[in-house]
Amino acid sequence: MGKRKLIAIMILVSLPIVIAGLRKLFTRTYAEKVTIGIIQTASHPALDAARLGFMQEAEHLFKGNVTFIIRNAQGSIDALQTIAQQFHHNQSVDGIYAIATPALQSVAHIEKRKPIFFAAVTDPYQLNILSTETNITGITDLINPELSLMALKLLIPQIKKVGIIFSASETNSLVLVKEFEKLCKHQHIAVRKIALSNEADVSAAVTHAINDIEALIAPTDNMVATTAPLIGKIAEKYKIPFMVSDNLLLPYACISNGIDYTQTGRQVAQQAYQVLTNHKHPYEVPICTAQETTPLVNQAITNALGITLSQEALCTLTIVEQGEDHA
Amino acid sequence: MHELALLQGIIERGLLFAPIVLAMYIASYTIKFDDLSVEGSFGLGGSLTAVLLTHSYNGWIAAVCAVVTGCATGLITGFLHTKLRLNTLISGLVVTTGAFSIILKLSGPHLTFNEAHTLFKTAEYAETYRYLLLLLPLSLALVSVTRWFLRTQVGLLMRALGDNPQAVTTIGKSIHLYQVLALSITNGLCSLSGCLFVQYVGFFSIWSQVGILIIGLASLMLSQAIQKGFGFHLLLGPIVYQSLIASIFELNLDQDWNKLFTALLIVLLIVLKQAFKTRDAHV
Repeated sequence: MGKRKLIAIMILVSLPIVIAGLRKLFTRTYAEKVTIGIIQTASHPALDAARLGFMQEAEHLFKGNVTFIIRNAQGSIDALQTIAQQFHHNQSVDGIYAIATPALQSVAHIEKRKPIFFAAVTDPYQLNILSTETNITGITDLINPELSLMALKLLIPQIKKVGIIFSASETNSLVLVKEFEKLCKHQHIAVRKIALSNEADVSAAVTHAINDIEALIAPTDNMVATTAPLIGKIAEKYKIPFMVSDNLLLPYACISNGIDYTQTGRQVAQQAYQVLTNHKHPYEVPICTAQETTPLVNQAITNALGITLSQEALCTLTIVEQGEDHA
Repeated sequence: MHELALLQGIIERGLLFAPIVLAMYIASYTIKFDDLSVEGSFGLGGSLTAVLLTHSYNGWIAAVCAVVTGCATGLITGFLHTKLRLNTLISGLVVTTGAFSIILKLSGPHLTFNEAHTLFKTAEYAETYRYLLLLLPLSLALVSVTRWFLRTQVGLLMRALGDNPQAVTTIGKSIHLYQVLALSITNGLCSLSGCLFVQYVGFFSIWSQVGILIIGLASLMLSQAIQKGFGFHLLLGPIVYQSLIASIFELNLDQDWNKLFTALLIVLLIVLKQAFKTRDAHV
């Protein structure tokens, strides 16, 4: 190997360090300004909302004295490692905001000192990262499945069999599927599980299962989220109500009992403010669940399905007319 | 020295993918079989490792089990191609697809384990250098062993298989046997890489296998741009790739552009290298 080649390789390998050094030289750092590193697992409407909500609220709380370093790994666990390490070694980063489980887990494994805030994580307790003096806090996105089922029963009081549609590869949805199954069993509703393995299967899987069930339930699930328009269309064709757990998906569904991710982001920003400005330790700021909202009903779809809303349903559920943007 | 720590991380992450680059070299250059089962065996290795570690097995034992599982995966790919006469690409693709379900049954989509048993604990006394202390000798040894192997009689026959399959038949050896054998070795290496990766990051996620094929191929191309053929420069490819990824993040772009810039950088490097080569040829 020639000398020139060796030099070229050395330059290439040290390229990120050179860029980091140059950036440090040319960006003036204000001592009183807080810097928050945002590490997002992938691009997804809910995760983007969690990021934007956080940034808006933080901007407001810190009165503009905050800068963000935004990084998106686009689904690669390998890239998450790179980002986590860069945040760990970047002295100007005061706190890290991790969006979704893989991002949280990658950061938690590398960063043991700087405070970490998380959103869009369903069950942080099973990740083996929390200790008594942990540097981690955040808002979990576990929805209340009892509320979902109650809303469904308000629409179809005599329901006997439901289908649960989810992707087998997502931890978040598996946690909820289990909860739904338990609740349904309790209320003597039979369950048919429809596991998706990739987006191309959705149409076939739904069409085959739909003759057998009276309603279709989806947990917080990325694959369902991306294919919701299709699932909604099939459900409407077969006159089956479709219930989702993400309010962004209401235009395609009959009912939605979900987390408002923008709101979750705002809640996390308040936690971050507590830690970074009021100098609390992250373990003094408890991990909370997202604020509960009343389930939403899409009136255009209930009309199309021929469901008449009872007085009780009109009182307890929020009725949304089509076209109204509720996200 | 934070800058040095960043460099160290890049080298570590590069070396994690070194077994995959070796495997892809053997598959694509030596036996000329474009193996798409890479992602499947990487995921299987990682998944199995995570499961064994949650049951408090030692990380080294997990590594051995992962390699064996990988070899078995390779046997299936080879069997599909040689006995059932599936096209090379299809047989790999089918294995990766099927492996997805097996991984989900084995470990679920996400599994965290107790880090007390990972193989990096063996070098714990080296503190922050423990990863390098294990990965560097391991990858150097892998390259040496593979180089030695390619020069043995079996290795020579594999090379002949890629250059001129007829020659292998003429001397009375079975093409299929050597194809299956080579695939078994390459998938064993991929699985080892998955095992190391999972022990390095501290958790298993079903998404860790997605995109591995691109990382491996890009790393292989970069190392071939450095120097053609087999050798220790195969370890440099993945390290250069990791430093490109790190550079893209350091550039602080609008994050949607990251992938395009990575692609453009790889193209630029390979084109630059070719330009230098033709210029040198003229001088």
